[in-house]
Formats: sequence, C-alpha cells, structure tokens
Amino acid sequence: MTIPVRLRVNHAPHQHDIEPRVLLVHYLRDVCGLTGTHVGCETGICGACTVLVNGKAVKSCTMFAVQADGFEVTTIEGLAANGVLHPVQQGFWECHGLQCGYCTPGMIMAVVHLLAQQKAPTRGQIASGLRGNLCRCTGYTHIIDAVSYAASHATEAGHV
Amino acid sequence: MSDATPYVGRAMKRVEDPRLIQGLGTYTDDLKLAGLMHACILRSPHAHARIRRIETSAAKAIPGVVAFSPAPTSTMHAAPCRARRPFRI
Repeated sequence: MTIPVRLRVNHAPHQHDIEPRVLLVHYLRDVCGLTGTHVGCETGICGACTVLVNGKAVKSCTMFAVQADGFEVTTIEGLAANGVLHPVQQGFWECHGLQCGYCTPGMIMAVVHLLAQQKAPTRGQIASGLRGNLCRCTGYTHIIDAVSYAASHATEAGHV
Repeated sequence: MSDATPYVGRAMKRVEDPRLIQGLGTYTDDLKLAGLMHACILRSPHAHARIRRIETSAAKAIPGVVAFSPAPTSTMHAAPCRARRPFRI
C-alpha cells in the first residue's frame, strides 16, 4: 500500500507515492537522493539525521515521511544560498568543528534552529541546545566554538 | 621562527570541510552500486546464551531475501583482529 505525499524539500516540490512505514530520513536519502542527511542510530538518540521541518529541528528517523505531507523540509544540502555558506557552516569550518563529518549535518541543522531561537546563546545554552546531537570524534569544545562564531557572524541576510 | 612560515604555528583550514559541511561527503551508506544488496545482523536477545540451532526457513521464505548466513559461517569471514605480537612501548 502506498500513500501520496507532497512536500517541499529545499524549496523544491516533491511528490511521491510511498509506503506509510518509510521514515523521513530514508525518504530524503533513498527517494530524493539527498544523502547529506545521515542515519546514525535509527533510535532517535544521536541526531545525525536532524533536518528542519517548517523551520524546526526534527530527527528525521523519528518521523514518517507521510507525516511531512504539506511541509517545508530543509536539509544540509539546502543551507548554503547561492554558493555562499551559511554562517553555521562557516563556523564549523573556521573553528574545526568537525573531523569525520558524519554527525555534522545534523549538528548544523540543530544549530540553525537553536540560533533562530537564541541569537546570542551562552556556551552553556549551546551545550544544552545540542544535547540531542552526539559527536564521537571532534569533541564538543570546538563545536561550541563553531556555534559561537556563527552567532556572532549571523547577520547575513538570505539564509534560513 | 620566521613570520613567513606558511604552516608551522598557524591554524590551517581543512580542505575536506567544504563538502562535509554541505552534505556532499560520500560515506559507505551513501554508495549505490549495481546489484547492491543489504545485510542486517540479528543478535541474540539472550545474554551469554548458547546457540544450538538457527531456524532459517521462515526468513528465507520472505520475498527478496537472498541468503541467510548463520553465525558459524559469519565468524569464518569476520574473525577478530589480532595483534601480530604483544605491544611494547
């Protein structure tokens, strides 16, 4: 049995007939071909699959694709605008906020949501805001540096 | 040390980061090859149990299932990594 789903991914309209059991992360990766969103634990713990759904950070392994019907989804591929990195992406690059990069797309999307809510978070608020995202190699100090950098450079217009 | 030193004593931006922070990395899970099949590992729900028999007929009857590799066969191909000699520091 399939169910029609219509949504926008990175501003582009998508329409597919999919099984209702398909998770949003698998829809994005396997149907839309957007493999920047990663599957880490498939249990909602690690946050590697974090995307924005109508601007809110969502772990896309905890949501069925059909539940996103009618919504606007933003993935890591949709963050840079016209070839210009998003301040959060820039911050991760400048501050060595990644090593293997596997958790990074989820981290970045969670940070975009965090900074939309708190323009100038303290280091403690950043750590709290990222408690749903696990990194196994960089360590969190540089990631918090990256978020602080992004917060102080997030004045550019035109980003999510 | 000279100020003209291009690398020593300076933070270097990593060349691989632009693709990794834009979701353009290619990890094993991102690869799609012709004839690619997927495997999953079924672990025992019982701690420290002895496996006496594995009944595979029901699993093999599921459409799309190609093969079932019971533990003794799997361990032949996935032996633990052993150091060639004890480490000495």
